[in-house]
Amino acid sequence: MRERIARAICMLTIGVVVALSLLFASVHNEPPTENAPLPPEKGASVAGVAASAVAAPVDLAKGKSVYAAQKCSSCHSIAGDGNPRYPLDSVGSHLNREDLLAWTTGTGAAADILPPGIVRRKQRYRSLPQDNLDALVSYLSTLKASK
Amino acid sequence: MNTATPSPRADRVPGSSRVGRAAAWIALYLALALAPLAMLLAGPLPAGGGRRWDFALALGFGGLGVLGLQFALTARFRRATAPFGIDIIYYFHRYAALVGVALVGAHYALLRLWFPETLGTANPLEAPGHLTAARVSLVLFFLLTVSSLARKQLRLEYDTWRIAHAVMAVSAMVLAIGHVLAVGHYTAAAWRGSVWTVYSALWILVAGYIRIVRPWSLLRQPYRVVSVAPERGRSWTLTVAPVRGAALAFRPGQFAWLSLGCSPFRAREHPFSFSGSAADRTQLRFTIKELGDFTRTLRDVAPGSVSYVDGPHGVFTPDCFPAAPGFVFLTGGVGLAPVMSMLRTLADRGDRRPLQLIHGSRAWDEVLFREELSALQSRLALGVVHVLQEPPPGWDGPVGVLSPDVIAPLIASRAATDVFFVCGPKPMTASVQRTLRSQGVSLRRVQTEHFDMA
Repeated sequence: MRERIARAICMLTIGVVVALSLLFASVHNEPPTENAPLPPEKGASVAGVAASAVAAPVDLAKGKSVYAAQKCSSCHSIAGDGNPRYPLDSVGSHLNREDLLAWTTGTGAAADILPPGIVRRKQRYRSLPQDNLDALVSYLSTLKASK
Repeated sequence: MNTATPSPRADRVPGSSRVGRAAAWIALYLALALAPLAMLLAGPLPAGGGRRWDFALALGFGGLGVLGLQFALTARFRRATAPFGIDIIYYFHRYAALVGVALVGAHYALLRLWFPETLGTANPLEAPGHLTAARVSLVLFFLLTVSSLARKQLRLEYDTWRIAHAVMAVSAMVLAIGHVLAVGHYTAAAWRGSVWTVYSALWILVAGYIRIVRPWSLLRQPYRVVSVAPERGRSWTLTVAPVRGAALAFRPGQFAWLSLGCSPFRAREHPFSFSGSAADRTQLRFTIKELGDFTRTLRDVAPGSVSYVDGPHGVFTPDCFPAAPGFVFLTGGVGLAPVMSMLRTLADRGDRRPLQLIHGSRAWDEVLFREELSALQSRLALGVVHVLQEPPPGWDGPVGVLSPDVIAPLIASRAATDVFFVCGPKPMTASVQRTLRSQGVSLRRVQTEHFDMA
């Protein structure tokens, strides 16, 4: 008798946790409104990347490879790929090259805003070759919000 | 003859409000277990990370809520456990561990599946600290569960296991909370930060209660060992008497945690059933079979040794059924100990209700309390049936174990009315419970004790 009740409460707990988790995931990610665009679903193309590519194609490819080699996707996502917590999809629209470099390497305004641990991690990228950083920033600056 | 007057402390066990109190404690459990998840739902948060991401994170919060409460479940808060019986709380603790580990395991597995790049390398030299903390915590929670469910198969000694269990549990929890706070995305915002601090502080308070407050309160009521006497069936009866005042009041069939010859701060206590009469407030008797490493050393305990008794605990007692017309006891081996306490108590109270004991032993010479059981038949309306696995020549009683064939005819006339107490080795209690159910005994009238806790 008591065993049944104990097992039932365990089942109830796991059921309610899963239900509340689904509820949270759903209400916290309401369909995109005009004010708060969500990162696009995985696999969708980022509008504007090709059209507004300012940098030379070879630079873009190199920037992408630096992005991959430094495992930026462990904290960031582009077009739904990577950590959805900090999407970079429209970063090129509101940061210029100078700011992009500062946020990448944990200097300037970024150093004041980000938590110290993150700043330390980002400051490691200062030791990258200059042309790799340039290529990365060029790549990031092509990531524009869709009009 | 001494008629027991239940003390207010032990008086919490029975009563019509027991169901209400039990429901209230279950509600409190669910509320606390779901609190971390509820905090997520409660208000404005930084932007979501997509449905899959947030679902995986929420499972982590849910799992942590369940695992955090594991500390409170085994803190032996008498008021909270009394409506259920503390043995079933430990039983629940075991299932809840599986629930919690499954949830945090799912939290990890789903992130691994859907967002493999976010986890990066497992190498602690390269991985971010908060992810390493989470990985170590997950491994510890897994080890905790395996080492508890399979302690005997792994041949882990009880005391060693207990210490490892406590150390791993606290480390796993601290690492898990560290992980949550370091990620901080959903916990850093305004009031949530302080709620999480309070929540973490609560766990520390519970640990402090278990390790400091309770041992300290036990220190104030010391007992001394009066005797350690051998019984039939490789068992021993340990008698302790309070250094001052009366012994604690208990209900027959209950048990206590006993620290023998060492300070309660050493956390080397073991759960044992009272076997003496609850009407006797001058001393406490426990009957123990030589099973584990601790019980083997029992014979070496010197009279006069100090001991501490944390109890009483449990609801395996006829006192929960004052209106029952009679009782049937189905016991195996040392499972007779708590029933012996019931019989002695009922005899001291002059109870005349019909009682039936069906007791399984290996051999006639190993029948625990054999002589006293026949003596008690003159003081109680008690029928005793011994079932022997290895009967002596000329034995005309039942042979084997407490099988349906043996039990069914003996209980047929009582199946519809009496309350049944079942205590013995796990396979025996499981099989007897099945038999009782097939004989039409309602589950409400079948009482069992889980005294094999880990």
